[in-house]
Amino acid sequence: MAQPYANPTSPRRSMPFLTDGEIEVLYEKALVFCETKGFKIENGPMLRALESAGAQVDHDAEVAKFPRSLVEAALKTVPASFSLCALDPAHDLIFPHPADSFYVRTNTGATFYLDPGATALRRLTVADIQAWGRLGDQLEHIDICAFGTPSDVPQYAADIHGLNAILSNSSKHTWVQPYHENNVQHLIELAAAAVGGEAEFRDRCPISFIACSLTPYTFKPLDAEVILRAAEYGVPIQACSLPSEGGTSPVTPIGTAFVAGVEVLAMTVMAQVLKPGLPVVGTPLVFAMDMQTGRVGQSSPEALAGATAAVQFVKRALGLPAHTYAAGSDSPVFDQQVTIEATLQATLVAMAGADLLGAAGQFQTATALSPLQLIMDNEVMGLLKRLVKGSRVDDESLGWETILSVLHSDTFLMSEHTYTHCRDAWRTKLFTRESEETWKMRSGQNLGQRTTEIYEQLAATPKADLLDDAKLQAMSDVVQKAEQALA
Amino acid sequence: MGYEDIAESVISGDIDGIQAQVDRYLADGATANEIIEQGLLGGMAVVGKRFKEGDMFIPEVMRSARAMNDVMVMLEPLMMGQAVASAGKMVIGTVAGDLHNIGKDLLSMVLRSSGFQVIDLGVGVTAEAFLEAVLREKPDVLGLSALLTTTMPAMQQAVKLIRSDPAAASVKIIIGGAPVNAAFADEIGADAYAPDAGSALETMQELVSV
Repeated sequence: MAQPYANPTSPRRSMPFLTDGEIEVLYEKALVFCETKGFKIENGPMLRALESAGAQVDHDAEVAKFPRSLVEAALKTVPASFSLCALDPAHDLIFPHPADSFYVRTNTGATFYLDPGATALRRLTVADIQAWGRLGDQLEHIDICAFGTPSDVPQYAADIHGLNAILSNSSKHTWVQPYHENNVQHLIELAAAAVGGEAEFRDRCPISFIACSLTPYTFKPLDAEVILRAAEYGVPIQACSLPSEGGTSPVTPIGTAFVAGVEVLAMTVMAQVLKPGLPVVGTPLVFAMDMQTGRVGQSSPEALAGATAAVQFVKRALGLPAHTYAAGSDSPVFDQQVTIEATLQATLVAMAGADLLGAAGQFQTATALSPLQLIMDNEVMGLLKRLVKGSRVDDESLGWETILSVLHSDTFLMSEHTYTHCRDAWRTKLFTRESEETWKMRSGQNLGQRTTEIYEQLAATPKADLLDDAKLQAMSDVVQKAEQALA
Repeated sequence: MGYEDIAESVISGDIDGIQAQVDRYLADGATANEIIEQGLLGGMAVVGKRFKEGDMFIPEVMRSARAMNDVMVMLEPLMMGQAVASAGKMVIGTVAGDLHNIGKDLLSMVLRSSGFQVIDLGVGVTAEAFLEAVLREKPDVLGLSALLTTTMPAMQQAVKLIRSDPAAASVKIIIGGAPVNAAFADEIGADAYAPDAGSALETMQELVSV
C-alpha cells in the first residue's frame, strides 16, 4: 500500500470507519481490478502514454490494464505535500493542512439559485456567481470558491464565463469543471490572464481541474484531455468519481467506495505517468440510488457510509488527500432538513478524515444554491474545525497543577490556568446561547433572520479590486476569443 | 385455464420457472396471445401497481420485466402476425453531449413492462435525430433525459426544434433527469416533468389518455 496520507489514524482527526485489515483488502482488490479488468479510456494520446509506461492496452477496445508495478510506481510519485494557490497568497491551501484540519469548498455546477426570502428557485446567472464569489471571499471558513453553471451566457462557453466571474470576485482558489475538451485550453488561458501570464500561472496556479470518470470504469475524451492539459501546464488535479449505489456501482456502500477508489486510482496513474509529481486530490463523490423510486441522492445513511469509506480508502490505501461532499442536502425545498443533513454529512466526513470538505451552500442534491445556507455552512465548518482539533493529553491540557491545587468544593474560575485559556473556546457568530430573556432583549431573531441579517451586511460590502485593469482586460479578451472559437 | 401461475411467476420474477409453465400451457393448446394477455400482462399490471405504491423496488420490477420479456421472445414466432394491444408509444433518448443512460433505460423498462412500445434512441442524441424519430415513429410521447447541468441546453434545443416543425409539434414531451425540474419543463415548452420512473409511468398514462 501507499504511505497513508497525513497521519490519518490520529484519534484527534479520524474515526476508523474501516479497519487497517479492511483497507488492506480493498487495496489488494484494487490492484487486481486494475490488472485484470482495467479501464475504458476514449483518448488515443492517453492510451499511448499509458502503454509506453507499461500498461497493457487494447487500442481497438480502448481498454487499458495497469500492472501492479505501474500502479505502485505511480503512487510513489504523487507528492506528499503541495499547495493549491490562490490569487491572494494569504489564501493558499497547504496540503497536508498544517493544523491537521481540513479545508472547505463551496458547491459547484448548480443551475438554480434561491434568493434570500424567496420561495421559488430561478436560473443561475453570471451576476449570481459574482455575488457568490464576493460572499465566499468574506466567509472565514470557506477556502475554495467554486461556481455554478450560468444560464445567461452562450452555453458552449458557460464554464469560461463562470470562471471569469469567480476569478474577478474571489481571491481564493477555485476548481474548474471544463464542459468540453475544446474549452480546456481557454480555461487555462483565462486563469493565466488572471495571474499575469503563463509563467506566473505555472508558478502559482490559482485553479485545479476536475477530472471525472464516467462511472463505471470509463473515461471520456474530455476526462483524459483534462488530465493531459493539466499535466502539460502543472495544474493540480481533483480526481472525481461519482458513483451511485445500485445504479453505476454496487448497491452496497463498501462496493461503491471501492469503485470510487479504483477510478480515483486510475486518474492518479494517468496523471503520474504524464507528469510525475503532479498534485492529485482524491475526490470520491458518493451517491445512492433509492431502489424504490430511482432517485439519486447524497444524504441517505447508505450514501454517507459510502462517502466515509471512500474517504478512508483514498486516504489510507492510496495515500492521497481526500475530498468529498460534506455539505448539502437532498431536500427539494430550503427547510430545516437542509441544515440537518448538511451538518450530519459535514460531521461524518470531517471525522472520517477528509482533507477538503465540499459543496457548501447547496440543496436539492447540489443543483440549487442558497447564500443563506452558505453562511450557515460556514458557521458549522468553523465549529467542526474546532472539533477535529481534539485535545492532546499533557499537563497543560489537563490543567494538572490546577487540579491538584484547587480546594475541595472550590471553583476553577480564578485559577491561572483558566485565565490563560479563557479565550481558547470557539465563538459562534451565528448561533445563540443566550437566555430567552436576553435573546428577546437583544434581537429576538431566529436563525433564519440572523443569517439574513449577516447576508445583507456581507452583500452590502463594496467589491474589492482584486485584479488590476490590465488583468481584467486580458481576461475579457480571452473570453471574447473563446466565444468566437467555440461558437 | 386461468394463467394465474404465469402471472404469479411474472410478479415474483421467476425467470427459470415461467418458461416451463408456458411450455405446459402451449402443450395444452393455449395460444400465444392468451398467455400474453391473460398471464404476462396480468402479472405486469400487478407489478406496475405495486411499484407505484412503493411495494416493489426497482430491481424486483426489473426481474419481473426480464421474466416477461424472456417469454415474449419465446412466444413471438407463435403469434402469427397477431399484435398485442399497445398502451402507447414513446420515443426516448438522452440528449446530445450526455452519455448517461441509467434513467432512460429504467424508464424504458418500466414502460415496456406496462404495455407501452418504446423506441430507444440511445445516448448523445441530437435535436435533429429526435425530430427525425418523431416524424418517422409518430409516438404519443417523446422522452428527453439529461444528467448533466451542461446538457440542459441540448434539451431546450430539442424541444424548440420539434415545436418548430408543424408535423412534429403536437407530440407530448416529458423531460427528466437530476438537474431539471417542473419549472424548467415549463420554461422550455415541454409538457411534463417526471422526477422518477414511477411518476413517469403515471404521467405517460395521463398524457396518452388525453
